[in-house]
Formats: sequence, structure tokens, C-alpha cells
Amino acid sequence: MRVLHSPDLLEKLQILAGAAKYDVSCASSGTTRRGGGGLGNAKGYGICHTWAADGRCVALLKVLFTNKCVNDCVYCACRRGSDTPRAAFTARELAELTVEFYRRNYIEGLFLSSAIEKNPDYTTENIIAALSLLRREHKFFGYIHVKAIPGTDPTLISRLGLLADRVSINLELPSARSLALLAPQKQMPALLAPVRQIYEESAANQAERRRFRSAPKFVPAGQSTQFIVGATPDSDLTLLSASETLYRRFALKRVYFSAYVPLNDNPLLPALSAMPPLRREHRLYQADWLLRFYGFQAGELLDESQPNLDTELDPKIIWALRHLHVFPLEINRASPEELLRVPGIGVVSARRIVRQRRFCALNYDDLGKIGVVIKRARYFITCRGKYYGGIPLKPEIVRSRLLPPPAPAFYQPSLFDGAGSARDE
Amino acid sequence: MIDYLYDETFDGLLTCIFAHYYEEKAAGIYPERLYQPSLLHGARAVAADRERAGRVYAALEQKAARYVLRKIYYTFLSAVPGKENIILAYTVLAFRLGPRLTACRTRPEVLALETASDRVDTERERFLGFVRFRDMGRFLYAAIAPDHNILPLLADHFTDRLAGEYFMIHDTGRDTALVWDKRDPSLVPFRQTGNWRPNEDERLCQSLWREYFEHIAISERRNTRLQGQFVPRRYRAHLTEFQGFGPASG
Repeated sequence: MRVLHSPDLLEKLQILAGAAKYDVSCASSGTTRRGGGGLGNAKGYGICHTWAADGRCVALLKVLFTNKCVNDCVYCACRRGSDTPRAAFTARELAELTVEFYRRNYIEGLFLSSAIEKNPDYTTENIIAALSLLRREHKFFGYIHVKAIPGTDPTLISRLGLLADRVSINLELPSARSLALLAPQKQMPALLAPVRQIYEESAANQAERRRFRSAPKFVPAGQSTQFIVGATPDSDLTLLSASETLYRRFALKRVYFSAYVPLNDNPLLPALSAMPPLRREHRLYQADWLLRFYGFQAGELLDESQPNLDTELDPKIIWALRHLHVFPLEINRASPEELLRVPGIGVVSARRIVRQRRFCALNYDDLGKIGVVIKRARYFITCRGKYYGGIPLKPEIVRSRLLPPPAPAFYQPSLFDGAGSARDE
Repeated sequence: MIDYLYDETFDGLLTCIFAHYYEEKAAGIYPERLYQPSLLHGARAVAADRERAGRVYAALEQKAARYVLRKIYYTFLSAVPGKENIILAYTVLAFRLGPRLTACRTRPEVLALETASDRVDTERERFLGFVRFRDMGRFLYAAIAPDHNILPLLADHFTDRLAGEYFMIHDTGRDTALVWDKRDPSLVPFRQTGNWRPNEDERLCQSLWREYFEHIAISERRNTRLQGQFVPRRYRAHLTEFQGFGPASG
């Protein structure tokens, strides 16, 4: 605890948390571990502890080890050329901070990232020292998510993987061209090397653990990555295809999207005044869910003629509108895979429908109770042969019904307010 | 038909259900403390009976399913008015339908119970994150004010996680505390007296946490409405990171 009383710790925390906040991941899921006589455990479904003023969940103490960097990535706040204040934690400070926050149940664990000080190996060795201190000396069994730095020696990555629950490598940009433009020190093959290494070692580790249950776990919660959205002209199709490849080829647990917040004034980037493309980020996440849980493929959602997601309607509705010939589907007969393709029906409601209809056919009135979103689903289904949509099944008509109501164009004075009162709504 | 009155324990409730089958049919089950006599039915107080409750418990487990029992227990912990009658109707149906019951969400008896137990489960999960301990020097203390009586559901998680610490989680609304002495968890009646002042380490930790909380938000993405959906205002009084800020916070 005494380490925490050092006078400059508060400032370090401000700098190093402030610089880490653009990392999107806060998941604390993927591992279940009972406490083993030390401090902490892990829950497979992940636990959120609070939500910050931007509405993002806070589960982990998310900090950089240091923000001193040798790279000069154009989009990044820590790039070498930036005149931002610099700081670095000591291993002991970081370990104690994590433990004290954890005991008070502020956090679920640690998310440790870092800028590259001197070189990747030097930085990774520092990170390993801090994590070893936590795991061995403090007997910390909470969740640890750590960033692997491309270019690090593979033996160091292997050691990192035995200390952490999840390891991630941020690819940041989905195409070699964008990388060359904005992050000239990074190259796609070098970025993918540790991703491939972790994938192969995890597979080997799982095989080993089937034979020896007590073998140490290597990255038990899997790996994830992150793409920046909106800093380059890369299309949604490029982003989603890249994600799909990562899920298939390297068994990634998650691909995160981060709407680009302009930090640096550079002719290669959007202007500093540009707003982060939050709507686009939201649509990408919806599409990502369709890939992971709904059996969709990137090529079904987007193609060369339409490389970007619709901002007005979600990607599942757009898919349904383009494939109206398969609808309406009969709720009591459609296969589980077909049900998942209906807008307004999710994984839970599809499962409930399948379970319940085995005993008796479902009525239209039952659907709401089961969790189906009627206002979207009604145009795409029949119930006991009857169609409840009430409008012809034509793309433009259904689309117009599903669009969110337009914002009121003028203020309608109320009879009961004083005329012209400036209501703030 | 008769109204059964019980002592607000789970055993008591199950004993009333036993009586419903083996003595007189129940018109309803109510907490004895709050009961207002009905014009339609007589009323009788039923003392909790471990053995009878155990028989209902075992029968439900055998005839329906384990998670049916969990749903009933969660509903019992809820603050939903009339939860006893929701449980009674559900139990009667459970004995009739068996495991098929859980596939019948649209039946009113099932929907009412599942809605209540889902609410309790949601709040339980929230509070795995929302408990905030303060280091009192010799033990950790946390105050919570949940809508439902979720304290018993937190025991397993926190005693495992903080096995090496003495701690107490205090439900201020129900004057109950979960106490862990590094060996056994216990639920005890508890009312805080006096003003416990945080020591210097504790104050430092709280200020570091608040500072962190403030700096982790991206100001360009500010969205307090979204934040409000995840952290409803009623929970914020006991959350360290929301103390010492204005109502909009962050």
C-alpha cells in the first residue's frame, strides 16, 4: 500500500489511463476459475463493474504500462512526434494498484497495454515482470488481458500467454495499403505473426490439457483484436471480411471496432473537428454479431456493389429486405436457422419458439411473451398460416414502415404551456 | 379454501404448499405480518416445518427439474407483490406438467414467475459488479441497497473471490448483512450505528479510483443516457465512483 502513496502516482494514472481508453475491449469473459487460496477468481460470462460517462463498460483497470513510444503511427496519441506528457508505471505500482482496486471490487482484473519503449522485447519483458509479480507474489487469480506487441520474440509471447487470460494484438487497419499510409512501421505479415503463434500454441495447449488436466493454461480466454473505423477509406466489406477471416482462420474470440476519434492534425486523417462515426461502429457490431451468433457470412451482408452497411436500418433487416422471396416464414414450421434470419427474433427467442412449439403451436399473441420484437418481425412471419403484417410484402413499403420516425421538424406549442416557452426537450 | 399465512421464510412458504396438498386447498398465501383479513376465506398461520418443506422441495426436484426450484427460490427473493401466489400457481402447474413446464413460457402462471425470477437474476448479476468495499482497517465493508433480496445470492461469489479477507456486505434496506469470517458465510441482522470514517489508505484508493473513472471516458463519445441505462441512478448512492460528483457525473 505504501507504494500507492507516491506523490506522482495520481498523475501517472491520469496519463496512462487517458492513453489506454481508445482500446475498446473490456471483456472479462472466457475463463471460469475458482479462487485458489489467493485473491480473486474469474467468471466465464464476465462481470461489468460500472459504466463511464461515454456509456462504455468498465470491467478492467485499463492502463498503458508506458506511453513512451518509438513508433510514429499517424492516428495514435502516443506517437513519437506528439508532445503529450510521458509516464511509466513501475511493476510494483501497477501490481499494488490492481490488487487494491480488486479487493474493493472496483474491477474484475487488469487490462495492460503499452507503447513500445526502446523495442518490443524490452517492453514485453517489463510487462512480464509486472504480471509475474501479480500472479506469484500477490497470488492474484483475477482476470488479466494483455497486449502482445508485434515483433516481440516468440519465447516472450509464450511466457506472456501463461500469465494472462486473454492476449490481443491490435491490427488497427484492415488493409496493407492503409497500414503503409498511417503506420509505416507496421506491416501486415509482422502483425499477424504473433496472432498465428498464439493460435497454434493454444491449440497445442488444449490438446495437452486433454491428456494432462493440470498442465498450465495458455491464453485460456483466447485472443481478440481491434480495428479503427473511419480513419481510412476502408469499406465495411473490407472490415467484415477481415473479421470473418480472423474468426475462421485464427479462432479469434472477438474483433472490436473503434470509431476513430481525431487526435492528431494530419492531412492523411479526418479533420480534428470530425465527429467519431458512432453509427457506423454500431452497425459493424450488429453485423459482427450476425457473423458470430446468427450463422451469417460477410458476403451475404455486403458485396462489391454495396460495400458499406446501411446507416438507417440494421444489417439483418437489410438482408431480409433483399431476400423477401424467402419470407414470410411460418413460425411453427421454420427451422431454427431460418428463425434466426427473421428480424426481431434473436438467439433466445428462437430457442424458446423451438422448445415451445413441440408441445403446442404458437399463436401470434404468444410471440411477444416469448421475447420476439413484434414491430420488426410481423412483416416477415406467418403464425398458423395467417400473415399479420397488414401491408404488401414489397421492399420499399416494408422499409418505410421499419424506418425510425423522423425527428419532429417543428415545435408544436402545447395548449397548457405558456405560449413560446423554451422547453429543453 | 383458506388463506395461509407464513413467516416469510422459504421453508414457511413450502410448508404452506404442503398444507395446500395435504390439508385444505389454499386460496392464497400471504406474509402473516402484512395480512389483512379477507371476507371470503378464513385464514390460518402455518409454522415453518423443515420436514414438510423438504418433502415439497424433493418432490419438485424429482417431478419437475432443478432449475424450476431455482426459479422458485429467486422469485421468493424478489420484491414483487403477491410473489407467494405466483409461486403457488406455478408449483401447482409444475406438479401437473413436469419438466414440460419450462417450455410453456406463454402460460400466465409461468410468465409471471419467470418475469420475477429473471428480474432477481438480472439484479444479482448487476451486484456482482456493483458491490463496493471500503477497507475499514480490519475488514472490508460494503453497503448495498438492491431492489430485491439478492444478498444470499452473492455469498458464493464473494466468499470464493475474497476468501482471504474478512468482509461484510450490508443490505441497508433490509437491515441484513452477509458476514465472512474466512471460514463460513452467515446472514445476520445488522444495523449500522455510528459513523465509520475511512482511513488515509482508503481515502487514497477512492480518489485514485474516481480519477481513473473520470479519465477512462472518451469525451467525444459522451453519452450519459446510455450510462444511465446501465447504472440506474438509484444504485449510485453506494458506488464510490459516483460519490463526490454532480448528478450528471463523470
